This record gives sequence, C-alpha cells and structure tokens, in this order.
Amino acid sequence: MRPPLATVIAAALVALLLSSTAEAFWGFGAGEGSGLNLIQGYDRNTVTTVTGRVTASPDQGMDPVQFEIVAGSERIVTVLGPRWYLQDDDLSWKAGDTVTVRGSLAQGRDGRSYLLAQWVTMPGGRQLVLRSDTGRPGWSGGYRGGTQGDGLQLQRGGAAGRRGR
Amino acid sequence: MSRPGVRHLILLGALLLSALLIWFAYINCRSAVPVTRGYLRGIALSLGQAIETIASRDPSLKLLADFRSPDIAYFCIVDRRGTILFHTNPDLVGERLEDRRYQALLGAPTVTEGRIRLGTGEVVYEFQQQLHIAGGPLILRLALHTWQADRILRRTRAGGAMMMLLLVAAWGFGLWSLRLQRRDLRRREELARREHLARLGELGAVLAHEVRTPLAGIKGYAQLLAERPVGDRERRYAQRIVAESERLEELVNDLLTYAVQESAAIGTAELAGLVRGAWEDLSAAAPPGSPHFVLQLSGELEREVACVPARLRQVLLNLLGNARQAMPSGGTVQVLLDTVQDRARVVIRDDGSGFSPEGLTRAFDPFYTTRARGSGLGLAICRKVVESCGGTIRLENGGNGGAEITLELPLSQEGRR
Repeated sequence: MRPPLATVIAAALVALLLSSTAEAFWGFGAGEGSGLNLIQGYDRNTVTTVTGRVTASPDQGMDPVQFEIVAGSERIVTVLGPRWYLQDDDLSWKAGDTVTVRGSLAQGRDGRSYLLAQWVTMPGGRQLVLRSDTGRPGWSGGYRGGTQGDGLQLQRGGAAGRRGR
Repeated sequence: MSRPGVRHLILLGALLLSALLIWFAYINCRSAVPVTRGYLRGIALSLGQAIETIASRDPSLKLLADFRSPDIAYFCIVDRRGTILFHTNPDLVGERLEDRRYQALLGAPTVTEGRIRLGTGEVVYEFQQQLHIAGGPLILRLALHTWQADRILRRTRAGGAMMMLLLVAAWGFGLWSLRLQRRDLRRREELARREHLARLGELGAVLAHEVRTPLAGIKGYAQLLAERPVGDRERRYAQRIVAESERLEELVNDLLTYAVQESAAIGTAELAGLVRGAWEDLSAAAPPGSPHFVLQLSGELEREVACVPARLRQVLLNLLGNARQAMPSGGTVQVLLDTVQDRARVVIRDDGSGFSPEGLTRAFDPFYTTRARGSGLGLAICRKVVESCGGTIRLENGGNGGAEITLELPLSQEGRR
C-alpha cells in the first residue's frame, strides 16, 4: 500500500532536521564535537605549557579521559588519553587543585580550547607523562609513559605491551 | 482563462519563486566564503604588522615571546633557508621547517594564504608574509584559529538550510492541499454523476413503462398485417414496423434494466460456465453468413463470484457482443480468468480497432454510442451491474490495438479454503 503523501512529507522533514543537530542547524555551534583527533592528534607547533585550576574532577567514564581547567579567563579542556589506558591510574584531582599541563593546544569546531596533554602534574607533585617530547602517545606503542617526581621515575605497567590490551 | 491554464500559471509562478529563493540562498552562501577569508586576512595583516614592528625594534626577537592574541594558533619567523629563528614553541627554535611552503615567498614580496590541517586535526588559516627588518628579509608564518571567522559561514549556511527547509515544507503543504482539493473535486463530480444517472434512470423507467404497452399493440397489429394476404409493398412495410418495434422493445428493456436499483451482489455465479453460455447464445443468434469468431477461454478461478448469475450473464453478453461487433471480418475473442487478492479478474480482449480517445473516457456514459443503431446503454448497464456486485470495470486499448476490458469481481466466501 502506498503511504499517504502527508506521511512522506513529514518523514522527509524529520529526516532533514535529524540530519544535523539543533545546535549546528541554528548555527550556534559546530554541533559535530571538537572535530579534533583527541587520541592520536598532536602538533609540536602548538605546544604550550598551561597552569590553571581544575573545575571538576576528571570523569574516568569518559573516553578519552578529560577534565577542564581555568587558566586566566580561558577555559581549557585537558585531554589525557583513552579510558582503557588510564583506568588503573588514580586521577585524584579535585575541583580547585592547581595543575600544570604541557601539551598541544587546539581549538575545536565547537569553539572550545583543547589541550592534548604531553604531561600533567599530579596532586602529589609528580608528573603523569602521557606522550614523548615529539608527541608520540604511550598507548600507541613504542613509548612507555610513566609518572616521575623527586628524581624517581615509575615505569607504567613495567613492560611495553601492557597498554595494548 | 481556463482552469488548467490558471493552474499551470500558479505552478509556474511557484517554481519561479522557488528558483529565485534557491538562487538567493546559493549566492548568499557563496558570498560568505570571501567575507570569511577577508576577515581572516585582515586579522593576519594586522598581526603581521604588529609582529614586524616588534621584530624591527628587537632584532633578537625575544620580545615576541610576550606577544599574545587569542586568534593565533602559533606563529614563527624563519630565514631564507627555513631555519626557525622564532617560534611560539621555543623548543622548535633552531630547527628547520620540514615543509617547503615558505619558499613561495623567497622570490617575490607577496603573501600566501590558505587553510591547512594541523597534527591535532584543527584546520587553521595559514598566512605567510615577508618581514623587512634589519639583517635581511625574513618570513613570517602565522596560523590563525578559524572558528570565530567560520561562524559567519555557519550562520549563512544555517540560514540557507532554513530557507530550503521552509521551501520544502511550503511545497509539501501546497501539494498536500492540492491533492485534497482534487480529491474533493473528484468526489463531488462523482456524486453529481451518480445523481444525474439516478435521475436519468428514473426518467427512463417512466418512459419505458409508458412506451411498453402501446409498443406491444403496435407490434402485434403490425405482425397481423404482415401475415395477412395483402400486397408485397404493404407486407414489407408491416415487416419493417415489426423490426423497428422489436428494436424499440430492446431499448425499453435496456432502459428498464438500467433503472433497476436492486443489488446484484446476492447469489453466486460460476464465471467460466457463464462465459461459455453467453458465447454460445451469441453464436446461435448470429444470422446465417456471419463472420467466423473464436473464443479462447483460459485460466480458472478459485471460487465462484458473488453476483446474481442472470445479471452477470447480461454483462458478459454485452461485452462479448461488443467484442464481436468490433471485428466485422471475424476474429478471436480472448477471455482470461485469474484470481488476484481474493477477487476474480476477467480480461476480455478482441482484435478490433480499439477505443477512440473520446470513447475511452465516455464509453460508460448512458446513451453514448459510436454505432448508428446502438442504444448506448450496453456498457453503462455493465458498469452498473458490476459496481452493484462490489466490483470494478475499466477499459483500455491493448498492446495489439484491440480493446481490453478488465472486470474485477468479489469472490464468494463460500468454499473458502
């Protein structure tokens, strides 16, 4: 049986509306997330070091794990890495903690600033190293991240490949 | 102006208006691209000038470390060999640019611009220009965030998309209301047609009753005259009166049949047997020396059809008779029986000349005939009987040029598997 014309028109309109999110449709945002390569992306040209206050503890349920800091008047989303890679780490920052993050800064298509962290200071003062100096991430193999501080470096996982699960 | 003319004019106007809106939206979106580029170029030129001023004052370029702007993703200054003299990431000072894009500025004091994707996935606007400072021309590479500038583009595109959406909605509602209007018009036309036919039927019935009795008298007396021993001329006249009376009698019978208001859906009929019976009756009634006709009956039905056999036989007599009359030199009449979705489908095909375009639209109208001595009630009666059985009848010209009449009749519920 042929569907009524009104149903076809209504379906077409709904499909058109659903093809983009409301934000993107009305032009108030990109609506497609950051548009950045948050897991593997890094660019040495935009590397910077930022010190700021944590606005809320990191949600380790998010993938990739990220939290927001405020540096001056700017709000920056600090992206640490994939959830599976950080699931055993104690990311115990609390709101108001001061952190220093070094990483590649980028602006997403949603207009927010993202800092793809190379290392970040932990509450105890140690550094959580996530990428090499060239930006190669620990979760991509060939480089082992770790925590270091007071001259002590703790190898993460003890062996390369642990992170590859 | 005629109604179709007005309709076409409105449609043309709507199409033109739509085309105008689409063109406007397209031009608007296209013009936003150079506006965005101009906006970014303006910022880049301003920043470039500021950087050049600072670099002129401080050839060591150390003061540039404090130069900040929220629009800048990064910037660097390189010499002619591509060695980085200054970079917003100090770790890169002293390294050489891996790409060769800066070389476009070595020969000519122009600027280059374009969008590139950084390793983070961000697309930035890259602007390069020569810096004329002491120690020789250097090259400034400036990468700007594009999100702010692209808002112009996004808003324009969103406006265009909104316009398209409204246009689609307007066309949808327009077509929908047009469809409703046409359906309503068809319904009213059908109602008017039925009322007209009902009045015609009543009138025909009254006339038939009034004509029938005197006609019987005229015919009887004419038959008596024809049998009496009078002159040949008088006998011929009397025989003509009898023949014309019989024709009038047929017309009266047709009128009475057409005027009957009873439902024909009571009873069941075995269709294949009715087809054969009607064909035999037509063959038997054909005068000597008539052309040779062949009936090809194929297919079978699952059950009997739900219709009064006598009325259905009348329909078949009319349709098969028409098919024979459409082939003056004789030929084959095909009757195909089939069951389609709990309905019987009967297709009657002949090898005649088919229907004219006018005939296709008016053949079911009462008193419409293309024959000199036809009453024009045959197909009208067929339609009335078939519809009173809950069926449909339609006619078209077949692929071989002959007429093709298709009946669809409800099957009896008795004996249903």
